[in-house]
Amino acid sequence: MKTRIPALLAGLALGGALLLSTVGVAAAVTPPAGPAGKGVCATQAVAMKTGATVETARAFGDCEINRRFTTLDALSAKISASKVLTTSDAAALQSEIASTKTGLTSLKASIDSETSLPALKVDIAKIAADYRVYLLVAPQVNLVSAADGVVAAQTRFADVNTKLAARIAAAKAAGKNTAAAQTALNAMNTAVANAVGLAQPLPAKLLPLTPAQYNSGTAGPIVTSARAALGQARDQLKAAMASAKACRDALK
Amino acid sequence: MPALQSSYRGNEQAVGRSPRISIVSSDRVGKETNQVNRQLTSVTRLAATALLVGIAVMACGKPNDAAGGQPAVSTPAAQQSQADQAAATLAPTPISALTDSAAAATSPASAATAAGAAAGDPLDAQLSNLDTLLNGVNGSLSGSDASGGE
Repeated sequence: MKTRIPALLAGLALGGALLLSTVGVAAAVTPPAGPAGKGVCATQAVAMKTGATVETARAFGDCEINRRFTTLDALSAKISASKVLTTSDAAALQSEIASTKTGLTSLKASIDSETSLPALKVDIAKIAADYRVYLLVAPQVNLVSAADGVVAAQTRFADVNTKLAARIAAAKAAGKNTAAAQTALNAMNTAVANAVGLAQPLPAKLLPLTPAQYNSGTAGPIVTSARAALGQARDQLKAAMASAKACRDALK
Repeated sequence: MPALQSSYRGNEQAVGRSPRISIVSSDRVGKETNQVNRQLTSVTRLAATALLVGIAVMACGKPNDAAGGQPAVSTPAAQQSQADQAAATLAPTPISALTDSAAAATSPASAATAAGAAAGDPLDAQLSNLDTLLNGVNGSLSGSDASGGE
């Protein structure tokens, strides 16, 4: 018996070691910082501030452009994968992304060939100001997606309306009181109409906005109001969902 | 009786004579018992170790089972792929915060809910799909708020 206990302990130790090594492998896969986050170029920014040379400025500029490329690629993939964006809105957004990438590619070439520090600083300032990837392009993609999503919900709510109306008619024919169900269905349809009314005009307002308009202060308020309108539209859709469920439950 | 083993020889010799108790040397018994014990403990040790190693290997292999029963040992390519996925998930991009309606529609949880609902009332399935769509709208709205340091 005395010899069995050490054997068991040895086996347990071996098993434990195997398990720990597996956990170790999992923990060792530490994700690196994201390529498109605003902290990605922090090192280059600090280097440029502490010792502004052509090299440090160029490194910072290249980093800022590269993270925008990453963001633009992700936005493009999002548009391609979307099931709610209309064909024309998707095409307009993809076109905007393509032209932004072309502009940034040209700016990067200029930064890479520039030898004067003051000229480099001017070029670096253009990365944000001339393209507004984060303040304009990304919100355009997201808000137009949200708006088209609200509009796409209308068709699906129409199907729900058809089914619920048929159930109300059947319940009424069976002599049941359907007043509560009908009230809920009406509320659903009203909420959907309100949501669509808020969202439908937004893509036409958002898509033509340019970085120049953002810099002059005219695009920002449009983006802000579109965001607010879509918040209301989303709340209306939530209310419509609640009404649809209330109608269904009233008929059970 | 030449075939008999030596330990029984004493008893055989007693036949026909006056009764005599055969005494087997206690040293000999001890040696044989020790030998048997030694064999038993090494077999037990081997069996216990093999069992525990087996359990440990099974425990290590389980996470990969969910990914299609692939081997527990991951290749460098697989590790790189896992690292890429983790990076893509955790990258603090303005877009990573978003949940596109399409992406939300394909998420396993919502797909399972939709499938569950579809198995019952078709109306429930439609409402479930609308829930997913609403989540997508919500995700796009939250994603539109990132400045990205501009």
